[in-house]
Amino acid sequence: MPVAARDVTRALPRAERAVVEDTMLFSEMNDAFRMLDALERRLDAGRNERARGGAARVGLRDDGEALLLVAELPGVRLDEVEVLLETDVLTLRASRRRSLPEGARLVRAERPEVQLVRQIELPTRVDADAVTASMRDGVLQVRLPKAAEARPRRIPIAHASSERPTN
Amino acid sequence: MQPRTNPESPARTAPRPSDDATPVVTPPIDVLETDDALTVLIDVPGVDADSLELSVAREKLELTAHRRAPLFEPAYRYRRTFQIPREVDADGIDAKLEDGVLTLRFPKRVTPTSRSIRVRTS
Repeated sequence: MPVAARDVTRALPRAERAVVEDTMLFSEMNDAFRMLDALERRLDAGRNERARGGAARVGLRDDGEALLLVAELPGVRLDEVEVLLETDVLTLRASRRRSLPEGARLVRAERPEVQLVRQIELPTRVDADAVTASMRDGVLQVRLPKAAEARPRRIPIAHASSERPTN
Repeated sequence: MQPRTNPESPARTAPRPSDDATPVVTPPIDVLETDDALTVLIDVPGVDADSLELSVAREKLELTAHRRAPLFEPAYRYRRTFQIPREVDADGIDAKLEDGVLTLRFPKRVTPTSRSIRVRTS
């Protein structure tokens, strides 16, 4: 006697999209390390600095010859970045919006939308004509060579002899 | 530039400092879904194709990337692993790295929603 056919359609994997409330679409196995906060505290940012918005990391370094501003701006287009130098103040503006293609559903959103405005009062005078900026792999680097008088210069020390006057 | 994807074992190219000492940072991701694919965007600024490792083994995708970081001390690496859902085809992963953002596209498997079952009659 043949066995009655079972309805097996339920056992097949569902081709319709998995609903988020089932389980996370991607479950990460490694979420433990978050050194980002510790690294941000160690960044050598300019002393008088006002920062608003955005989660982009910005740091200022002094290599002796020049000041170096480094900003992490992944996925930020060149036309969405502005670097402005006015005497002693450097202003960095950057923005990045998430663009959702038509028909796409946002399942997970961890990447920050950037609306960055950061003004840094430079600790030393710089040569405005010699400032260069470049962007590579989402990292902006601005090099501000120090003005000639701001560079460390070695001061020669004259040897003063101290002789006892003879009577 | 296409980063290398190598099933079962990661591809190593340039020599790099000791993996143990380098601190690890978890990069943030966005996940988008369409009818035919799952797309993951990962922020990895300072990473080029040579320093990116992507490997797939047993439904798990592993990402490691060493960050070029001359001014941020110490240098660190990005690391994140993902469980690949059964709905997508791990063999069809497309990876693109541009301006410090890695885009991974997983095409969804094409599965029939139903099939006819023939009934035997005696």
